[in-house]
Amino acid sequence: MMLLRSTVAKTGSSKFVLAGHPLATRKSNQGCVRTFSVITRDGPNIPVNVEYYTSGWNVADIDEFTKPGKYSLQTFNKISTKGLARLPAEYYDVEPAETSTKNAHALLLRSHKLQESEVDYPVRCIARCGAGTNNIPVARMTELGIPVFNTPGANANAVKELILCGLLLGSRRIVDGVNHMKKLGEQGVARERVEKDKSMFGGREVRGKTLAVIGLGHIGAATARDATFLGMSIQGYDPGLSVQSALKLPREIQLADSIASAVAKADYISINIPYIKGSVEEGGTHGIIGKDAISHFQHDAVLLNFARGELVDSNALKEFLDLGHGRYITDFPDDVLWNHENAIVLPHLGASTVEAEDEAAAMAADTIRDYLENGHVRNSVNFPTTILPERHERIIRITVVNRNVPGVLSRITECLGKAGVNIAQQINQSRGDIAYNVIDLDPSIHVEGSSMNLKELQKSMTMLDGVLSTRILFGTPGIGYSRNINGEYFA
Amino acid sequence: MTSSSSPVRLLRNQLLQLKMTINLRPAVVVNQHQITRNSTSTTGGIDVEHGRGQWKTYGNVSSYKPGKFQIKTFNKISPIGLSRFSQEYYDVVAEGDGDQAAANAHAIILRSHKLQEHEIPHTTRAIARCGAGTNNIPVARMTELGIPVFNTPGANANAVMELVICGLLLGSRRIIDGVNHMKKLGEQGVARERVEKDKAMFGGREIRGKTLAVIGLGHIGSITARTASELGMELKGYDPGLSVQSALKLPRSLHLEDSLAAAVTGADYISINIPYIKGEGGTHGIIGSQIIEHFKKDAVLLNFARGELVDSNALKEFMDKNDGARYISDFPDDLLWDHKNTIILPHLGASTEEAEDAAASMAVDTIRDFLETGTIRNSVNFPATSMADRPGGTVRFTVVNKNVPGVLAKITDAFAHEDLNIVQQINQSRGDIAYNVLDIDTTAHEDVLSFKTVQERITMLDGVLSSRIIYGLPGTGYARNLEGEYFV
Repeated sequence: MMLLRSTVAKTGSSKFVLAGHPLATRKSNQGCVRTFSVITRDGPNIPVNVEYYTSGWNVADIDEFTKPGKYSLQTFNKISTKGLARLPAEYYDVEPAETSTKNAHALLLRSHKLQESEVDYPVRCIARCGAGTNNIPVARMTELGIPVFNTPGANANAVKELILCGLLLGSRRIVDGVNHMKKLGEQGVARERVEKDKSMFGGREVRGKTLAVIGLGHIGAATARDATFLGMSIQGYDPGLSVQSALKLPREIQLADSIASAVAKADYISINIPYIKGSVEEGGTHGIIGKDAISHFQHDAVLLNFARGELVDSNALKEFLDLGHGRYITDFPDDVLWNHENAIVLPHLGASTVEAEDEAAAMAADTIRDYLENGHVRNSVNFPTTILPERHERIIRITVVNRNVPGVLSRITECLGKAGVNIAQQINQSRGDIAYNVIDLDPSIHVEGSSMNLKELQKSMTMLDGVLSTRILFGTPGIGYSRNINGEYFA
Repeated sequence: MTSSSSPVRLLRNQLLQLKMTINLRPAVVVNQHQITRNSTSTTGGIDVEHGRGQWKTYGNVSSYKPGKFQIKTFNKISPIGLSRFSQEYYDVVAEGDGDQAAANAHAIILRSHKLQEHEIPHTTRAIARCGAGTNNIPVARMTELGIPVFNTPGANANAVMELVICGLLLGSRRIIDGVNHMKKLGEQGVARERVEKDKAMFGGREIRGKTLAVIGLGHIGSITARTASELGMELKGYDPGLSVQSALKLPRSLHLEDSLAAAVTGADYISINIPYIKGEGGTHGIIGSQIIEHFKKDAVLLNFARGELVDSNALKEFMDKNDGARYISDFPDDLLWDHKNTIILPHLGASTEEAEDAAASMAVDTIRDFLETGTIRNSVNFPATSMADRPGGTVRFTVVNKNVPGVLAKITDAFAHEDLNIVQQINQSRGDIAYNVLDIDTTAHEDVLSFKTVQERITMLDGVLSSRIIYGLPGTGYARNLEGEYFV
């Protein structure tokens, strides 16, 4: 990170509040222009002007904001303090969103259902501690040019251990047995009755049985591997099996070419795929374990669902469970099967371990830091993975988020050319409707002593047709972010 | 003693057809032909005594078919295991089968039925327990009577191990409480709304990277240690009697400690896998206050061995002071059964089809080997004894005696006196009991060979408890010295 010295000059400037925006209700503002010096590692100071706080800002805390910057990271749900500790206190203020009076620069949450109104204008990114992002309006965030990050693999071991427990809970009637012992205890007859009654709760071993794992990502692969330590044979199915995941699989795994063929040979079935809205025909995974798949189950198959409740068609499964020999162990509420004698419903505990919470928070914190400080995008569910190598020498890094439509990139480079700045390196990636650019500018062409005015440059870039936001990364947290919100400039 | 009632007359008629009579007062000499699996026929027949002494009849005597071993079972024994008894030589009768109840059981197979002495007829040669612990059998008394008791070490090992692993996981997140909570929410119809909030009550930790101490590294302890290691746990172990066989199964990374206290120190999880031995020098309450004081505050104790190994009072004190501690047990516990940090399972450690089949098969094979060849293995009271196959032209004699000096000499003397040659023999002892297997040459004799006299002489020797002649016809040839009275 580059170091900065700054001086602040306040100017009176016109109000710039967007009508209809939630922030419009906030007090009016004063704009201010800050002048910063960029101190590169081995070059002279280059003063840089950027516009700052010209629009829609809460004046009450402008003094707060004009202090040497800190990123304001706001959390929903309880986030592991160990993970948050990875954000150096020098540059980051971390506080719960409910009690914060600041504007957030980044949001961190677990399973809180995020509303658009909770996403302040200055939010650059959102990170979810966990794998699924169903609780975040991701599509809308993409429209606004806000990357959403998750923490793939952070929970894998926690979920895997719970699946192993599920394998065993589905093999002997352990939960029923424990509850029965409680009843016998209440009647004071536990010792007399246990040897007789226990035959109601016996079952089978998992050793030598076959486990079908549907979905071989972080969790599925770990589950497959550990199941082999319990002496099981593995059938796997994953049309999108990556090389990285394949490396984690047990060598003995047999890959099936469809869910139906995977489950046909299986005594136990674990589903470990993401939930994507829409039926299978529509390309989603809703009810993917439905009548068809279930028709291929062995009569005493044990289905384990630690992925998402909606992946299973409960009505179809109920028919199967009613036959008396199958079992369903799941981590999600089920309105149809919650009290079926052959179903065990756990509260969503798959990731509920201190280790997973620490790991997910740490991963989310690192992802946010990398994005805010370096402009790197990884572990994003909507933005393309983008990593421009270390910037060397005297560099100013700019990032641009734009709609993925033709012509924007050329307009950006044209804009930069007009401003007379030289591009040292740049990268451009796109994914679906969004594109992301990281551009390193070489300020060396400037005459020493004069300041490089990025104010205009940033504004003109941000207001290009198709651009959603731009950021100038030059060290001081909390500034340099401007947005193009429906044609209005916001910085 | 029976009166001359019709069932006895019926049996007399049946036996007469086989040229064999049972008469409860005079001795009867029976002519039999030798029927063996692997020896050539002899020139003459063999005489054995059969039918003298105090017989008890159980149920319907007419169910007794001579020429077959009668095996009596208590509890439900796996049919797959029992099918290993050939139907030609064995009748398997379950206790409580009414008229079919075994009148004169030659061997007993049971699971956890609490065996009483009066349930064991004088004809019983052996008792086999499907399982590891034999606390349900009066073993010391059986030793006094010269009856070997067998168990099935290792048959249940995988079944117990899988349940211990489940216990590890059940002790790491509040899974049982969570499941029960979801039921309650379901009844109120608020499961979906409340789950994400309420789940915080049931979270916990992972086992990966944690330390498991395994106390007792036999069949079950060793494979538990190995599987836990593969799941990413660090292992400590304690077993003063660690065998080579078990050591080979251990994960290489396991750290062996030299005391129980050292093993549990620093352990996040502790699994106890040792046998329960009553009395002085036994293992009653071995996990007591002196050991528990070394536990970590949030240690999880797993007991899938025997309830009495843990001092529940000491454990309760510990758990009441340390909210993070947990106890997962497969056995009833009068004190801790409703403690919020305890989970009690209904002794399911061996309750899998596979274990039941394996245990029954092992028990059947052990009994067959004993009855048909006199071999002893997997016995909890008799010494392991195995002699090579009975050579052709011999009869196998086994003798059970009290382990006192001089008996062996008198036995060999008795054969010499009858001019009977011993082809091979073995003698083993264990504690108070000794066991002998002798193969006697029959080829030298042309006429009918009467073992009647020699068997009685040997059986009535001072110190001898019983003798058996193994020569092919199941159900006969067993004689006992019941406190000076000859029973055959």
